[in-house]
Amino acid sequence: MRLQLSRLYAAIVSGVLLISGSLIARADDSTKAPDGGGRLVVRTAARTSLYADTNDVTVVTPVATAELAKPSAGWSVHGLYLADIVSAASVDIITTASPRWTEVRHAGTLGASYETGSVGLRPQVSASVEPDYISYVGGGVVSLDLYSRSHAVFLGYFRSHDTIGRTGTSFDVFSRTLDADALSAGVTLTLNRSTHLSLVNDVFFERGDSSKPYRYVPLFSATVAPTIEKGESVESVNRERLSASPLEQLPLDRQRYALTARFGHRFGKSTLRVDERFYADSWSQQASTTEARYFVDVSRRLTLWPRARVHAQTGVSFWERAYVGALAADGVWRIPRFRTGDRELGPLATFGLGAGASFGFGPRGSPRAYRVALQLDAMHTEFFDTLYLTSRNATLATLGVEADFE
Amino acid sequence: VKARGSIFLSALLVACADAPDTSDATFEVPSSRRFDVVARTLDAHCGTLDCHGASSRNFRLFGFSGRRLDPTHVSGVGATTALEAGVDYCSLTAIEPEVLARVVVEGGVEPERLTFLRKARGSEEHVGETVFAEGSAGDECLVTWISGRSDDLAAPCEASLGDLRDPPPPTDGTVDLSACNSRVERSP
Repeated sequence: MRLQLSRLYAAIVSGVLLISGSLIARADDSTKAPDGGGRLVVRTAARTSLYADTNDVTVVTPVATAELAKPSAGWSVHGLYLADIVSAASVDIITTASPRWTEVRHAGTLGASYETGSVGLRPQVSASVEPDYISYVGGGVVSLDLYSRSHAVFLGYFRSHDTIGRTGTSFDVFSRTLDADALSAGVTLTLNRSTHLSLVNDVFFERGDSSKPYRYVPLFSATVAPTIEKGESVESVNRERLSASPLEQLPLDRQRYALTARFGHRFGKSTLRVDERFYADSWSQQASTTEARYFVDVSRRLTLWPRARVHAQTGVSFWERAYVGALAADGVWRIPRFRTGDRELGPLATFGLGAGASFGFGPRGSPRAYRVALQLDAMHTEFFDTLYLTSRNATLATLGVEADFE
Repeated sequence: VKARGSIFLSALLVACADAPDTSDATFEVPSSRRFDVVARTLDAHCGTLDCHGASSRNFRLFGFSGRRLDPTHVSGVGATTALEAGVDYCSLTAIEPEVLARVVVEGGVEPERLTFLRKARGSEEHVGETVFAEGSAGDECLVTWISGRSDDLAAPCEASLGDLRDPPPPTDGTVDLSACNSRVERSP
């Protein structure tokens, strides 16, 4: 329920960035995995992430991936499994008068890659299941290498079908569907031997009711609404609101557009990577996300990197901190057609800083055949126009082990 | 050139997309006539202080079994007032106005589309579990009200009270909606 867009977006990103990433990797021998010549190569990885924030949400995410590739023949297959173990007693839970809950989401992905001549194909399917949300995504990316593989263009299409339910309730009793089509087109350019740039345009078309079936939106009288302040407490909202508190209602379709630029430059013993993503949608939400990483190869075995991320977004056109409703004299309700309490649809900004390290402990001739990596991030989010919360601090730690075998 | 084209394409698509209509919508809901007997049933089964009588509830009830609107009234003494029945009516009818209006317009068919009815029947997860099994007197009380048959409410709603601690009958059979458009909680 929490990540419906990101599942489809992740599918596209994993497909598309494989292409742009592979080009950047070509110029960066130190990060290139062994190609295995004519042999089969097996790559495996396991990592676990721990997320915790000041809104009393913790998420533990173990992930396992495996890939079997025959580089000389141009093909590979890969699979991924992850589980999100979420425990929450956030203000969103408190406002529904519910106790802390714990929930597990299972997700899996199967994909393949095949390159013949200058054409690459990358089909992929994935599924995600949790007690109140089932999601299926399928699609693929076609790429075409140009000018001796120094440039590439690619086109991707993914389709998702989600079923939204309520925990503890059969999907036969209550469910909604949310369908989405996503198109992705882009180009990856080799600007010189050590500099690459990729530009990706994503378009999403969503159809269905994505309103959260647990989220109620307090209504206020026209005279009280202007007095409701940013970060107003749960107790105060319960005291000031009308007896009416309807369920969230979002528009039944949404078109989203994103333009992502990824710049990579290899210095002597370091690599700079900068990503910028501009986003706009038909709900009048606009956003910018900037992320930079600077990888420093301290030795053949050790790579360190700092990371910085800034995200800022506007609220959707129907965003209100305090919605007004009224029962008219003729006995009909006048209620905002669209209403939400989802902070992610409101204006906000997030600042993140982090650092990571990767250490290769493989044999002398191939020190990065086995790797352990640690990434630590801290994020601060400011909510500019929301009830209950004005900010949130979060930490994310990821520890992973990767191994390549021939 | 491709980058410019991509930006232009995105800008064009954004410009062509219809922004959501942010105006208010009006929703026709079941009549408040004789809702006093429905409020009595709801209050008796659902309105205690540890349940929908709590101020933290999105669907919250006032009345004989739980919280009182008038600070001079106490729980368990005196019938649910016309004003309390009115506030209960507004709380119930606003929970999912889109679905309720659709059910009303269609003459009350498939009332199980309504979340509160599914919860009351126990077909959907509900902390209070099954309150009114499908076809029971309480269920009939709610379904009769949803379908607009106000004159037929008295019998099933009265029968739904069963062995419960007997809530006094409504004082004058009216429902006062005057508190629906203002805050109803008292300051601590």
